[in-house]
Amino acid sequence: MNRKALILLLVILGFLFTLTPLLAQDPDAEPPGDEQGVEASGSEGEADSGNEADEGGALDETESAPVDEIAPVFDPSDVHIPENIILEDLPMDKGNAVALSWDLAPFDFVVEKEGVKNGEILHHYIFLINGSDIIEYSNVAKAVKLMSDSPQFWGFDDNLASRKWLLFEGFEVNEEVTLQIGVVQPELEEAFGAARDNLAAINKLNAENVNKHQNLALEKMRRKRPTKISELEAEIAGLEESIASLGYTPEEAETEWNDIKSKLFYFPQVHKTVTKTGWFNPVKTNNLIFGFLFGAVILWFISRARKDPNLFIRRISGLEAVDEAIGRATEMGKPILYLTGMTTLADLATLAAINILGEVAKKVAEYESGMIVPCRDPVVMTVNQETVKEAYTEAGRPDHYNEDSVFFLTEDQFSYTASVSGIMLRDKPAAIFFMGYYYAESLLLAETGSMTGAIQIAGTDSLAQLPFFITACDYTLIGEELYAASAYLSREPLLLGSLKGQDVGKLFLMAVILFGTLIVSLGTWFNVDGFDFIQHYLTAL
Amino acid sequence: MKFWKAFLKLDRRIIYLVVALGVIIPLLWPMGLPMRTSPEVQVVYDDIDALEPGSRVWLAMDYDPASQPELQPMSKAIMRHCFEKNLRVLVMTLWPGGPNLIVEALDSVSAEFAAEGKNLIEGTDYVNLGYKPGGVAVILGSGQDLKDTFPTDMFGAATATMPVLEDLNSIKDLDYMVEIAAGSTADWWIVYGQKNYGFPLAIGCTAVSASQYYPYLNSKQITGLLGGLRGAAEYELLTGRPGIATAGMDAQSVVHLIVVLAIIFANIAYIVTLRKGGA
Amino acid sequence: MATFFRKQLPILLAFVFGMTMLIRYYVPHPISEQIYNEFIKWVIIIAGFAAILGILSLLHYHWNKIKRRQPGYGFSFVTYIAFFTMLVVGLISGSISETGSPLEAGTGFHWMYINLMVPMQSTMFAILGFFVASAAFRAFRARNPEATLLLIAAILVMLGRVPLGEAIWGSFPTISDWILNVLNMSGQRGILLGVGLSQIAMALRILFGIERTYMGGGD
Repeated sequence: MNRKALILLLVILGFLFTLTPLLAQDPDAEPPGDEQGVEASGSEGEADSGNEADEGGALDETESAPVDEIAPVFDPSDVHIPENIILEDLPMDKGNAVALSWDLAPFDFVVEKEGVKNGEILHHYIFLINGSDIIEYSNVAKAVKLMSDSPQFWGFDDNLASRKWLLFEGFEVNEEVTLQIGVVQPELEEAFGAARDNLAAINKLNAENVNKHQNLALEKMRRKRPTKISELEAEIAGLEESIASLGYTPEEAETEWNDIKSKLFYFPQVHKTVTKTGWFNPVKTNNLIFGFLFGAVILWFISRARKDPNLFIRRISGLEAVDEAIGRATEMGKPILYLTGMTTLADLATLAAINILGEVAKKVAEYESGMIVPCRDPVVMTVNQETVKEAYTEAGRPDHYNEDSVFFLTEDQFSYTASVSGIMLRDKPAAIFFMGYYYAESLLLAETGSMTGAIQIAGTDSLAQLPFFITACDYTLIGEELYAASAYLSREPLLLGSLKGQDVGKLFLMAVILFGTLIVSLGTWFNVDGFDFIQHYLTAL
Repeated sequence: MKFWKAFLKLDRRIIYLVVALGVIIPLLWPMGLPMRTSPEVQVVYDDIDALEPGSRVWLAMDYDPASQPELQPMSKAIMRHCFEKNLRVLVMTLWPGGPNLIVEALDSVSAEFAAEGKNLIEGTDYVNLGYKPGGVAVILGSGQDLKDTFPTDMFGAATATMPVLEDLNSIKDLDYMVEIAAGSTADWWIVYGQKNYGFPLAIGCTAVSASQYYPYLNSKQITGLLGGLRGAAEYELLTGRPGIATAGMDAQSVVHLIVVLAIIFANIAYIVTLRKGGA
Repeated sequence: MATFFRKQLPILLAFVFGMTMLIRYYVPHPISEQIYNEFIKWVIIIAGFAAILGILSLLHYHWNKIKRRQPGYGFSFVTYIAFFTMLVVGLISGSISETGSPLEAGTGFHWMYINLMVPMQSTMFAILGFFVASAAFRAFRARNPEATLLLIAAILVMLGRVPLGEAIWGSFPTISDWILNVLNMSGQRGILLGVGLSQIAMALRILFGIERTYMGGGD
């Protein structure tokens, strides 16, 4: 019996003991946040650090806030402070930026699809960065994005869609950055706005003034535009007048601003982080993996082609016609016209066109017919010259190479088009090749070519121009056929091997697309969110 | 039969003549056909309309005189909308033939606004950054350090202290960008600009290239698309300032109809002659 | 030695620079950015020198044409006259204009640009409209079921894109949008993916020196 009473007593005491922390506290407050959360995210433990930075912590410190004198009107417990605040280094950057993120709150600004903004300005939130710079949240709200809007930094994760983030830049690598969140007390809002606007106004006028002075100095140096000089002088006079009419000096505005800054309410949590940079961008991991796998598959097929050179490749009628076209040119005693596209060497389509040029030039040299290669880019011209020259040498006809056969016309798109059209109409080539990338001039060239009655073979990956070439040319290499052409023409087993590798890559992509479509459709039909991460992962690929 | 055979061998020049008349007549006597706004144009208008005054819009006019009749009205319509909403406009081009067109567009639009009593100030309301050679390098440079890439505007005024570029150090911080393109620059801005720096991007392009950008629209890499004169005309109507593009739509309508009729009749002729020839 | 400079060295350079740029893509460090900026400057400088080669090539080509009295050599004279007129006017305009830029309004160069270049180039582009009509008339035939489908799609899109089409039948724009957004886009995506893979494969072939046709082919 006594034992029972003792146990009962112990239970009651234990229960009371668990209540002691509550008794010791302000009855209105919630339990205090984890200290780590208050210290916020340093370089370690970023993931959970912000979770506890809650209102409770803020309330505890009300009395120690640097705004004691105005506390009677302002109650920080009324402040809707964003939750789960995390300050962290902006990942995958060059180490000059940090990011602040928090849970999307009902009062937050969200720009909806229709361009309508939700949210309201409950408070003028402010950010105190490294103890000095103040950034206002209510004003930058429109620039605030959801974390899911920037997968290049944050990757793909479901909860990113419910977190907003802000970017702060201009730091050094490995710099410690501190950030404190604050609020403009309602009674100070007017003074705060005035101080801010006054400073901004005088700074803006001053900046304009400095700019005008700089331009004036430049004009005076050039000594060519007396009218502009007097104009600038008048503008400067006007600016200085407006600065004077403000009725305060930049220093006064600065003091007023610093004064009001010191009166604002700051929550005591200091969020800290250190800017970092790195040697690998993890967001690009899947890209790298795919690149590696694809590269390995291609190299494997190439090595296999070395052993077994009899690879099958389907017939490409446009390329079968190359011999016919060159043969016809020889019979007619007319040259062939070859264009390598409108883009520079930086475009792979141009390189593909040059590869085909090498093969075509070899055949032309063998048949001893003529060749005209007008170029739009001087660098491409130089490479084309070398290619044709080498091809002639390889065909054993170096003496037949005419250095005027490859020449530069102009970089201007339609002057080039006019010029090439002129060549077509005057020289009446027996065959015309349009290889590489083209723009709106495609039909102008192809239609003029068709008027001359030439055999026309086009090859482009310019999607918009494909229909025009298909309509006006005899044969068209569509997209990847352009890239396969040099392998096809040269019958070089190593090049053919890489085509096989490409097919495997394509099969993989087809499987991914099919799988992705299926997953998303299933997720939608059965309303299952679990498929989302697969979808996101595939998107990232 | 004879007629259809002759029709198939119709001289190209007759077709050219019909097309020429189809352009000239509606320009002289407009029909004023009503027009529907396509969603991809509406979205560009809505996005720009929702920007706060003072927001910065980057307008890349990457074309030259050749495509000017189609694209210049588009650039001007965007400029008018921006100035009306008190947005700040930064204009540049990656095409060597483009700078004079920027000057022409800015001059004529600011003259229109001056006539309405609103004076636009160069360096404060807009800046003409002119032509910069280097293509992709310029886009990447603008993302790294904008004022280092464009130390001066087109006429040599320093950008470092220019109010319109105040606090803007990278295209990353742009509120919006519209790329008006005649060539592959649109792909560059998507791949190197939007992908790297994440600003909202809309594309305006010639009608022949428009179909090429639908995949990007669908993947949300671009927010909207203005295709050819039609895109410009729709935008002009949305801003309530009909201009040259709207006027050109009648001509375009008629020419489209001519082409459609040419195809239909040529095919009737083809089938008729084929049947008779086979019989 | 000669083959080293003609074959091995270019391949080695292509490999080193290609790999540097490839690796750079995955590295966010500031050094990666510096390397990239440096490379870009080189590209601009090389392109600048190549422009000189281009101009020399053009002048040389036409000079030979004139010298050999080849057919149509009169046009070569036109080229020379146009080239030097534009060059001289540009230089003079630049030196007398207020900003030092020949593009400034009011200079001779600007005048020639607006009154010669603009109309000539616009004319070239405008010819497209005529060529589209004649090409469509000449080549768009319902030869087989595929061509017929293409033909119908073309007609629907053309009518759907202009107000007149809307006036004829209100559903043309909807059909045209659907063709563009669904059929056109899926087709384009297919081609785009194939092209992308081909480009990666070709880049690899060039990087590893397997593809050398651009150097004149062969080993």
